[in-house]
Amino acid sequence: MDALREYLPVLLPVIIIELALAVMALVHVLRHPHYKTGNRVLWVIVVLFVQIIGPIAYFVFGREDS
Amino acid sequence: MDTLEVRGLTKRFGQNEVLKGVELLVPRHCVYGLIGQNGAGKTTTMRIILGLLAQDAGEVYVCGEKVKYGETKTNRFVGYLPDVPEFYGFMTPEEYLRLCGRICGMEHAQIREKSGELLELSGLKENRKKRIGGFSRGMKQRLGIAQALLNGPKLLICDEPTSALDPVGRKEILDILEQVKEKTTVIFSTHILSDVERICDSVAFLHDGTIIQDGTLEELKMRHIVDTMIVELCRQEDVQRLLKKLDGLQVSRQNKTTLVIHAKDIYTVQHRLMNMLADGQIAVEKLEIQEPSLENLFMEAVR
Amino acid sequence: MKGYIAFTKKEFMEYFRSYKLLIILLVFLLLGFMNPISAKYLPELVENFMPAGMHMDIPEPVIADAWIQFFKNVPQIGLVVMVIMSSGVVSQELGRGTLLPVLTKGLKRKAVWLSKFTGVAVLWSIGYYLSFAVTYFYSALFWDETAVPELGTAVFFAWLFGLLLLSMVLLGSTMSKSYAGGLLLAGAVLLAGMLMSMLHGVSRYSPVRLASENMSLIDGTLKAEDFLPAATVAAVLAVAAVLAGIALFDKKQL
Repeated sequence: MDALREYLPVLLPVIIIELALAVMALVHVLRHPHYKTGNRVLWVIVVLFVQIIGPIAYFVFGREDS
Repeated sequence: MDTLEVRGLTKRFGQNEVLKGVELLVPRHCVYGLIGQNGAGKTTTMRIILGLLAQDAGEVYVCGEKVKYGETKTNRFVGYLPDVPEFYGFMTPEEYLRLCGRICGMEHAQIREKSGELLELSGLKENRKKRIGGFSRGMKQRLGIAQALLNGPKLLICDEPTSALDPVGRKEILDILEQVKEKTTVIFSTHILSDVERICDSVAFLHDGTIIQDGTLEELKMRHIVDTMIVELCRQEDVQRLLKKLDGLQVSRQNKTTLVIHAKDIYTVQHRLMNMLADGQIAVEKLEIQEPSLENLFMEAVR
Repeated sequence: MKGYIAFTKKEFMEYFRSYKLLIILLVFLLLGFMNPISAKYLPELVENFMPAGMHMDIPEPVIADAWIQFFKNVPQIGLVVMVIMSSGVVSQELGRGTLLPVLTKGLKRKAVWLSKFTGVAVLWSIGYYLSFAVTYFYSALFWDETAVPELGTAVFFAWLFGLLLLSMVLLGSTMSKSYAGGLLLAGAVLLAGMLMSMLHGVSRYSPVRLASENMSLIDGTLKAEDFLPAATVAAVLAVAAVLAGIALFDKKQL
C-alpha cells in the first residue's frame, strides 16, 4: 500500500491517458452499431481490458469509416 | 464550335478491345445521351475524355482544346459525375464543395455563393451541415451533380447517373439535369432508355466499341427502316379475308381481331390497305401507325 | 499550390475527425511520460519484488536512463503505431474512388501525393517531438543533473529514421491496393537495414543505426560524424521514395 501511495502521483498522467483512451473508445463503440471487423461485445472487452493497445486497435481496425 | 469532339478513339485492355474507333460530336447546349449495353465502352470513353485513362489511338477535343492523358487542363471546362460517386464521409456537403472550389481556384466569396445556389438546386440545403457518411445513394448522386457544376462547366459528363437509384431518386436527378441544360451541355450515359426519351435532344448508340447510330431523336426516328402499323378489326371473320389479301407482307396476328404489319414504306402500305378495307367492306375499329420507340430503334441498330 | 493547401487541410481535417490525430497524440504523450518514470522507478520496483535474501546490485538511475527508454520506446512503439495508422492513406483513396471527383476538378496528382506525405510527416514530427518534450521536462523533475550531451542530434537522427520508414510506407501504399503494401515495403526496408548493420563493411551506411545507436552518441562512444553516412543514405532514400511515389501515382490509371 505504501508503494502504491508513493508511485501514484508519478503514474497519474499515465493512468489518466490510459483511461481517456479507454473511455473515448468505449463511447465510440457504444454509439456506433457497425464495425469494420468484430462485434460490439468483442470491442467492449478489448477496449476495457487491453491497456492502450485495445483502444488503438479499435480505432484502427474496428471503427467503421463514415 | 462543338463542345465535345471525339475522333477515332481506340482502347484495349489486354486482349480485350473495348473501343474500336469511337466518333462523337456533341454540339453546345444539348443533352446528349450515350446509350449502350453494359460493357459497350461508355465508361471507358468518358474516362478518356476526362484524361483519366490513356487512349491507344484517336483524339479528343473539349471546347476546341485537345485532351492529354495525365494533364487535367481541359477539365476546367468539364464537370464529371462518376456512376457511384464517393466522397469523404467525414465532411459535410458544404465543406466538400469548399474543398472542390479551392481546388479549382475559386475565391471564398464566389465559392460561398455558388455552393449555396447548388445545394439549393440539388435539394441538399437542409443537409448541408450533416456528414456525407450518412447519406443515401440518391443524396450522394445529387451532391455529385452539385460538385460537378461548381466551376460552371461548359460540359457536364454524367456516367450512368440514374442506374443505381430508385424511381424517386431517378426523377430527382433527371429534373436537375433538365434544369441545368440551359447553362451547360450535358452528356450522359445510360442503358435506361426511358430516361433518354425524357430529357435528351440527341443520342448515340454505342455498341461493341463503335457508334452505330447518332443524331437527334427525330433524325433517328426518321432514319430507321421498319415501321409498324396496327389494324384492329371489328369482326373476327374479316381477319382471315384480310390476311389473304395482305399476302406477301410481313404480318403477324396479335390477337383475335388485331393485326400487326411491318413494312419499310408504311404509308404506301397504308393506302393499299385502306383500299382493301373499303373494297371488302371491312369494319375497322382502329388503324394506327406506331411511332418507333427508342427501344425499338436501339434493338434494330444493335441487331 | 492552392490545390495542395486545400487538400492538405482536408488531410488534417480527416486526422482530426477520424480520431487519428488524437490517438497519435495520446500514444506519444503516454510514451513521453513512461520514459522517465520507468527509468526512475523500475529499479526500485524490481528491488521491492525481489524474493527476500536475494540481492542484486542495481546502480542508482541517472537521467541518461530516461533517454535509453526514450530511444527504446518512441522510435519503436511510437513509430509502429504511426506506420500502422498511415499504411492505408494512399491505397484507400485509390480503392474507394474518392479521388475521382477532386482530380477531375483539376487537382494535380502530385499535389495529392505531397499532401499525403505532408500529413504523415507532420503527424510524425508532432508526435515525436511531443514525446521528446514530455520526457525532457518530466526528467527534469526527477533528476537534478539534466545535462545530456548531443541529445538534440541523437533525437534528430531517430526522427529522420522515422521519416524514412514513413516515406516507404506511403510508397508501398501507392503501389498496392491494400493496407499490406505499405507495411510490407517498410518492413522490407527495415529488414535490409538490419542486415546491413550486421555486415561489417557497410554497417556505417545502414539507416537503422540512426535509431539504434543513439545512446552511443550520447555516452560519447560515437561522434555525430559517424552517423553522417547513415543519415545521408536515409535522406537520399526518403527523397527517392517521395519522387518514386509521385511518379508512380502519376501513372496510376483510375
